[in-house]
Amino acid sequence: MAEFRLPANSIVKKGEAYSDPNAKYPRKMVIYRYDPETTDNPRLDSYEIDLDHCGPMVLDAILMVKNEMDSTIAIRRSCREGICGSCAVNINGKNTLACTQSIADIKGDIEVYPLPHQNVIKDLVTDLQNFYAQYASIEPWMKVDSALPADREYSQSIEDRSKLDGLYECVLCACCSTSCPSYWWNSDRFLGPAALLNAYRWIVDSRDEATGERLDAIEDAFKVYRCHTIMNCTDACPKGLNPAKAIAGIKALMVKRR
Amino acid sequence: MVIRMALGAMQTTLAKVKGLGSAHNGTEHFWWQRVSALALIPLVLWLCFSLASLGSSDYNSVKNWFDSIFNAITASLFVVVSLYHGQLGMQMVIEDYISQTSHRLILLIALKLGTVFACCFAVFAIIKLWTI
Amino acid sequence: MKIAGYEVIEHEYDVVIVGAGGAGLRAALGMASSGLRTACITKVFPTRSHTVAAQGGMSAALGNMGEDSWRWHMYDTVKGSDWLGDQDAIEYMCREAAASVLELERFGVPFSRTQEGKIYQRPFGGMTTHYGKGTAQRTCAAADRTGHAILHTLYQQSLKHKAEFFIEYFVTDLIMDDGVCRGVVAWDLANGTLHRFRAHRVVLATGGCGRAYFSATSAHTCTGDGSGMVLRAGLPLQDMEFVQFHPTGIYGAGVLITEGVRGEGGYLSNALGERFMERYAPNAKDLASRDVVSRAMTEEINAGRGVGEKKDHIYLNLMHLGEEVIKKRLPGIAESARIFANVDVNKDPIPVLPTVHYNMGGIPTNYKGEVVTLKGGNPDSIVEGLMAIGECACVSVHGANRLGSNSLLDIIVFGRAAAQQAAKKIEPNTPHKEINEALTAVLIQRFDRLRYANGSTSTASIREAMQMTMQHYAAVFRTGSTLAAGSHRMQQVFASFADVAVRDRGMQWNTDLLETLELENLLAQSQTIIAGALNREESRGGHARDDFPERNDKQWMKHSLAWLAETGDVTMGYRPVHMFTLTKDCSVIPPKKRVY
Repeated sequence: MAEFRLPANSIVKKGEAYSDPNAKYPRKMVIYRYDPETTDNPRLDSYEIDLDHCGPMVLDAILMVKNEMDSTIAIRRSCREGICGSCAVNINGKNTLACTQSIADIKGDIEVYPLPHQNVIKDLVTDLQNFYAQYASIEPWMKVDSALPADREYSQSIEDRSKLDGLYECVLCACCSTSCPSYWWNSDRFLGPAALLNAYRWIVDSRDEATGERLDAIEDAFKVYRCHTIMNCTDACPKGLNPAKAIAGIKALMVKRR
Repeated sequence: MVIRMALGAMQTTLAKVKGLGSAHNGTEHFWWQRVSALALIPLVLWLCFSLASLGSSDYNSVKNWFDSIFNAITASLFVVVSLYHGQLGMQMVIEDYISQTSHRLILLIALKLGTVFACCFAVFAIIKLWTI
Repeated sequence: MKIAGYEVIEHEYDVVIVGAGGAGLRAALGMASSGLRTACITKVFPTRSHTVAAQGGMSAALGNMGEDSWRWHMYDTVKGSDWLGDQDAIEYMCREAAASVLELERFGVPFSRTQEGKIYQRPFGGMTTHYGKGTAQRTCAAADRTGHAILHTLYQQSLKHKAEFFIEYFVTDLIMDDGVCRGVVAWDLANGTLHRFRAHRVVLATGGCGRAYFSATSAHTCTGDGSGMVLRAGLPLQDMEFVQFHPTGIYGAGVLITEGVRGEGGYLSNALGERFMERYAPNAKDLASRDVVSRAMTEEINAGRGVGEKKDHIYLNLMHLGEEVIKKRLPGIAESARIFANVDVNKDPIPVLPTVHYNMGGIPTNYKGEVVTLKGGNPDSIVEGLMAIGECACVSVHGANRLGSNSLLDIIVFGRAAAQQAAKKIEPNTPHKEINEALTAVLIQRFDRLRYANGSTSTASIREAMQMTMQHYAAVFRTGSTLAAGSHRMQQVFASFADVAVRDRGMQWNTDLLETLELENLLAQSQTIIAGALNREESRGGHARDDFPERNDKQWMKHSLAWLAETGDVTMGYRPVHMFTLTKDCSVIPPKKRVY
């Protein structure tokens, strides 16, 4: 059965509260904390941050807390401009990149949780092994059998190249997959929106010669057809991509070749 | 391999993800679910219209209504197509929420047999109405 | 195996690559497919590496959009380097460029296309035809996400070739045995274990140290860890005073806006609405070399012609390009400007400011990727067992200033060269020599000391002090007096690290400790940057001294080397610039005045 309740050792307790009495524009931020090296349950720590000297994004706020109040918070972060995909977390109920989520767009307290339905390693850092393996399983690399001259590029028309727009920009942040209820229940067999979007990126690449093989590999009631067009993926994607449309594209091709 | 094994695991994550591979199914299900949904549009309209027109009719007038070959066949079609469509939908629900293979299998078999039985029962009832 | 109180997991490989950005992945691919037992250790998942943020493109004289030649590309690169680049290495890079791009295209990089279905190429700063006479369209682009496209493709290829990765492992130090590199010590963040990797060659591909500055286009993870390790190993860094300021970082956020914007026809304007680059570079205008544009912008601001309330930045205009061009060629820029500057690029200019972007300096290497040092009078003495590629290396193909789109080229060409050299030099599965455990023990003791560091100054506050000092004293324009003051201040910050406080004592995903280890690497490099800048009494490329405004080839046409002592003292030395070519297919480009 799909699990609807957390196991006893995952139930979130109330944690510590840090305040800043000198804050000019105080704002409360709540962060999910879990330390794997203790037997404690996860907890919610709250921090009063001063927006007066904080950058505009939620990542800026998290890093300010980390720099000034509590250096033990663990989060993945790198580019801080929305291109590396490291800092995907759940902010006020929505999966997104902390570095491009503006604080001004959040009403009330800022609540930061790790990506849902993933094993938490520590605090906001989740185990994405399964997600990465799903990506690898669709064999996301160019397959060409024809022997073409090595001294020039494979030709591709501007129209064919434009079919890759909206697909190749995926940053593998996992916001989409971990927002999908189908993925929550069946992530062991359903490939999830991110892997499928990337599968479609290769299926529609005019240079690739393995289109049929690629469709064969994923034509499965679980690998693809767990997608019920819930559209959470498209709603969550911080890059504005549309994985649901890509999956619909895959299904359409599968019907077309029946 | 780029994907390393989960902590303490004896099998790679990739092996788990690849699992038993693709069953090459699902497209028929996807296709017929949509085709049956389309077929249900006129059938449901017809049903609504019929129910409205029969309104508070007595047993005999309803029975007479079923004497029409058109009405009997269309009613049978409605029952069969809607049960088929419902069965496809229920299959999805079971596959989604029941993760234990044995439970899933039993429920799916029960669903299929149940649907066939319900179809036969309903069609037989319509034929019976027609013959008496 | 137990060393210094920690259980250490042992690994043996032919080659170990540290870093999985473009250079590391390209090297890993090449080495794995040549049969060498290869491990690639990376502190972030490969596609999170900072190569992903490269926007404009990768230069190569393909000639898809007009005539071109690798010799012109070579000329531009030498001129761009302000004659500090090694011409043998530059020749190698420009010759290999076309093959490197075509290889990437075959791997599947979704390059933008021309009408004929070829790779689209755009103009970029400093890229010319006929030795400076015309404008070249040489920069191969995948819209404005070329780095992202290349990095993801390389990761996909390493999946294909089953390269072995150790992801989210942080390498703390090199194991040096009597001047020979024998491996590395690494820390697995996920499960908190320590590892020793032994290798016949260690390849550093750890990127630059942009985070030594307060405002940088660089990612949080750009802490130059490999260069820090090299300094601790008693080896020098080269030309560290040359730090590139990218003309167009978004004002405030520091996020990069590609030079491709100007390549597509965008231009800079001051408070008077004037296209001021026409005055500074009459020919190339907005497409002059980055150091030239950054200095011009700084001069405009200093002359009171900056825009905004504080008159402290410049506008980048692309409204006139039209929605179609922006949508097709610069979609990522439109997105960044909207998110980080709240600007609709179709209607308003982007507020920009020169922002720290790239380290021309780094670990000195030859064009095969082997680390060299000055030893016993030999400036090209090879450090056995150690290689360096990418931004952390100083080959030196960029000299005193890098041309835009030459860095994606650099990482691919030298990643491949390193793989070829390793394959040539190492017999697969050669047994490893005995190793003295004490060499590893010292490194683990250092790790342990920082883990339990019980001082009174937080890592974040030391880091901020360093970043502020570097930003203030080692900026676009420098003078002897401010550099001396900066050097003094940096020494204090460096010394304050002895009092660092680490609160988290755990081993799993202890980012407090991780940032402290990174900070030590940054501090080391900051010392070499500011010492090098103080030492070099001339203006060349990215290093502009108010008190020595001219280039001085007689005295300073040489690479500077900087060794760092544990006390923070920097010792300088020099290597000659390679004023010779690799083959007879081209001739040496003699120094002349650099005008755009």
